Amino acid sequence: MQRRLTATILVCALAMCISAAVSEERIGRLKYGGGGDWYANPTSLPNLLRFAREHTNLRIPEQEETVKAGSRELHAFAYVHATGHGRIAFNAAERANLREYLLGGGFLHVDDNYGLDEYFREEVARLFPDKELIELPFSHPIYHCLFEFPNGLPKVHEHHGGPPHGYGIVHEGRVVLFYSFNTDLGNGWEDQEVHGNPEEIRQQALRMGTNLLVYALSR
Amino acid sequence: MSVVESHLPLAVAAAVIAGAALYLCWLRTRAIPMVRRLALLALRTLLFATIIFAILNPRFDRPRELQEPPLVAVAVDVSRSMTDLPPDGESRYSTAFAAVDSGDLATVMGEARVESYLISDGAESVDDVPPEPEGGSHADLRRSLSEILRRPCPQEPVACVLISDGADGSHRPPARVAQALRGYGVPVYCIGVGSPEPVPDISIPGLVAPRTVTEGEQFELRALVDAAGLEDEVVELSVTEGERQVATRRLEAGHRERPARFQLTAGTPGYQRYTVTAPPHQSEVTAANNRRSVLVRIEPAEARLLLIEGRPRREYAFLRRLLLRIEDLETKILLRKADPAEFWFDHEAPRRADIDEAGDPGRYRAVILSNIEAEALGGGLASRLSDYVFEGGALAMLGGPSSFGGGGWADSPVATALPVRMSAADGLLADAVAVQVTEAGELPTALRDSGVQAWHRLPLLEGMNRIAGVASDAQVAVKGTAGGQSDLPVVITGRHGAGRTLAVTVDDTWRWRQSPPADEHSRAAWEAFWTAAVGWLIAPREEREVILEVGRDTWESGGAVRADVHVIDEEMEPIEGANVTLTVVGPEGEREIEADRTPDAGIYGATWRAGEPGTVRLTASARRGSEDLGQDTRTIEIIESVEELTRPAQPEVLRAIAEETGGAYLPLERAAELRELLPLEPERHERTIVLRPARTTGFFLLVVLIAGADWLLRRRWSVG
Repeated sequence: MQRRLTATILVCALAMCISAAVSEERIGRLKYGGGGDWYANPTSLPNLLRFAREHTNLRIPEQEETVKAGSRELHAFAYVHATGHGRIAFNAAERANLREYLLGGGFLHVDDNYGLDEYFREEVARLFPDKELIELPFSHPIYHCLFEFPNGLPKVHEHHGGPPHGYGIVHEGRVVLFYSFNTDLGNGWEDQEVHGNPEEIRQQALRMGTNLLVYALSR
Repeated sequence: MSVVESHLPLAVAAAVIAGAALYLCWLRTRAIPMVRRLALLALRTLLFATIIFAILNPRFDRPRELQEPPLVAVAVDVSRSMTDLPPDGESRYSTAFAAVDSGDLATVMGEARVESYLISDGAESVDDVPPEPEGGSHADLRRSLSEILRRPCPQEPVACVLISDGADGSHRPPARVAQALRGYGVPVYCIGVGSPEPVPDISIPGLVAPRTVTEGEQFELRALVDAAGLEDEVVELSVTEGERQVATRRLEAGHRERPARFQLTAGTPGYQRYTVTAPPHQSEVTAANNRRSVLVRIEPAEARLLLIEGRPRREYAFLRRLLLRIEDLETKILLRKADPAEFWFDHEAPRRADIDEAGDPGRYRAVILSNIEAEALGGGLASRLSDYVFEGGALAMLGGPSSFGGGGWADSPVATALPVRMSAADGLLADAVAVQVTEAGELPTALRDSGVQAWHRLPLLEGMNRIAGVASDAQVAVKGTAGGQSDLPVVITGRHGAGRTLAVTVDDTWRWRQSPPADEHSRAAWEAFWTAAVGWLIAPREEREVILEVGRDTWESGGAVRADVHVIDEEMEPIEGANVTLTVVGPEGEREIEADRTPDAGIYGATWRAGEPGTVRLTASARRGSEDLGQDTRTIEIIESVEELTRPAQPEVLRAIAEETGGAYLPLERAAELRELLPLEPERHERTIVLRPARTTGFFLLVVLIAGADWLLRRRWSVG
């Protein structure tokens, strides 16, 4: 009798875990080639996911998963994040897969962690030769879909001087690739002791990151 | 006087015994003087004589003639046409009461024994006619007079006096009412109250409008206006759409019902109530019938759809893109971004919104509830949704942890509308789901026509909502196999009233669009599935094959309601030989009425009497053999009858009753003449008075006195 009860409880618990997992969206960190540190800012995404769970009703996991640009598994992810300080490069197969993913409904956020910009712009030109990486106006929904950013991206770190910029590749009215430049959102998402950012700056960065998640899952 | 009883043998025996006793007495008194002896003998003789008289107890009958006033039954009509006050404050009943209480009728009735009754649709015996009775409903003269005349009583009335306006509400011809009363053999004398002239009253007996018009379309609203008793007046009519006045018109009343036409422009989409109103006239008896309204469904020029989504997720994002791509469809989206109810408008520039900003569901051709709990919508919207579908809207519920039973929908008003059965214990089935399109049904046909084949080869879905079952009249359009179970309902279509309902028990069809195994085939399948499903939901109502027409949406209690049901096929050709049933659900419960064929092809009619005031929902269902041809529904309002208030006096009814029963008719002003007409002669009765002197107290005292004297003298004269 006790054995049967234990088994029943285990089955129910398993079913509940599976049920929760079924409805969760998958969040990925893009593993790319070219030598750049794709693994930078390790605490950033877990912090962002925790913040988003606390402030929205998104069904998202506590940890991101790593996904390769050329993997078919990429198509299972609702939001993919890429960051780094150096070179980023895709081969033809990866490019095709990434392009199919993005045009088919996926979302890629690339965050320049300093030193990524030059390589990324070259790669985007290869990825979308028919599209232009445009700076999004401050009125764009990505700045207003949950938290209000009337002046666009918040400034986290000073890289190149001047204000931060938010660029996008737009397909059928939807931003499929968002590029945050000259701010370093990922650093803002990291644990406070990593970069010593003021809490207000961190909060702004986390809010903007949450906007990106909400946008990716609603547009 | 005569002695009617004789007891001769007993008398002889008593006389013999008395004689013997007297002889003994004579012998025992020899010792006293002769005078005393004779006196005692006389006393004793007298005593015996009275005792013998008492024993014999003879009866003496004395005939006598008695007179008493005749019995007359007086029935006073207390139906609403008699008791309700007209504007001048003097009701017909008040006039009648004054005559009965202290006027001419009181004088006449003073010469009779009166039994009083109050009558409306029955008779009630009262000691006195009250000055302010509780008003009845309508008058049923045949029924109420029959109750009086047939009731058993020791003495039959010589006549019945009926005080009424003759406004018989039973709708029977006067002759039939009168003939039925003749059989009781009691003459009915009718005193007429009230004028047969039309009661001043403005009414709008008819209002016709197209049932469905398109936003911005011109359409005609036709009202019938009757101004009885106010023929020379000008009636100022106004039309309102909801609360907003949209047209006015002056109409010369005339002697008959007159039509008034209004050219209107269809306003805001949704169900709009158009009301035609005539202001109350100072002399009219009631203003309750001065307005009439009709409900018109205004279709958006461009179809509108409302999507309420419980959380940002990929299933929503993909569906949103498809909806916004559909031409001629305006999609309004309320997306909840934080629990419990932080909604945002998401169809244009995102902004926070209240759920109430969704507005009246009637504004939309379809409403989609996607992964949202019942309580997040609030009771108002949830309960309106059920009515919205019943009236012809379309509702879909898409899968997710917050949908169906798991979202608390099992006990909500929406549960009756959806094509599935739910329970609070329903959860999620966490197994890979393969789907297959079923054979029969409108939606499966559309999916097959899309050219997509091999649905079972689509990328597997990861779980689905459990449901308790499929509603009895629903169809499973797509079924699934998961966890060793087959034929699991995945897409279910149904009808609720005149509306359409759709249930989708999965929440990750996006995997057909974008997932590791997704390909061109699965993307085409996703596109075909949602295009067909949304297309089915927003299909215009004009495709219906059963159309219920009731003409107007307000009817008077007690009046006849007429409904026509048009049954047509897809080519708009009438269908003959259908079985059409009308289900009427109102304050008195539910009843079913079979509609009859009419001379017009494809039109079936049903008539019934409107019951208690309140809202009544009508559903027409048509079948041919085992084929369900569809159903349509309308809601009408039953209002208090004002017929009795506006009913002129009908002296012809009273005349017919009087004539048929051998009585007479008199207007109230001539009620004094009733004295000459009523058979008021006193009734004479021969009565016999029976006397028995031996049983009287005086006789008893006489016996005691004689016996006492006898005893006293014997003591005094010392006789033993």
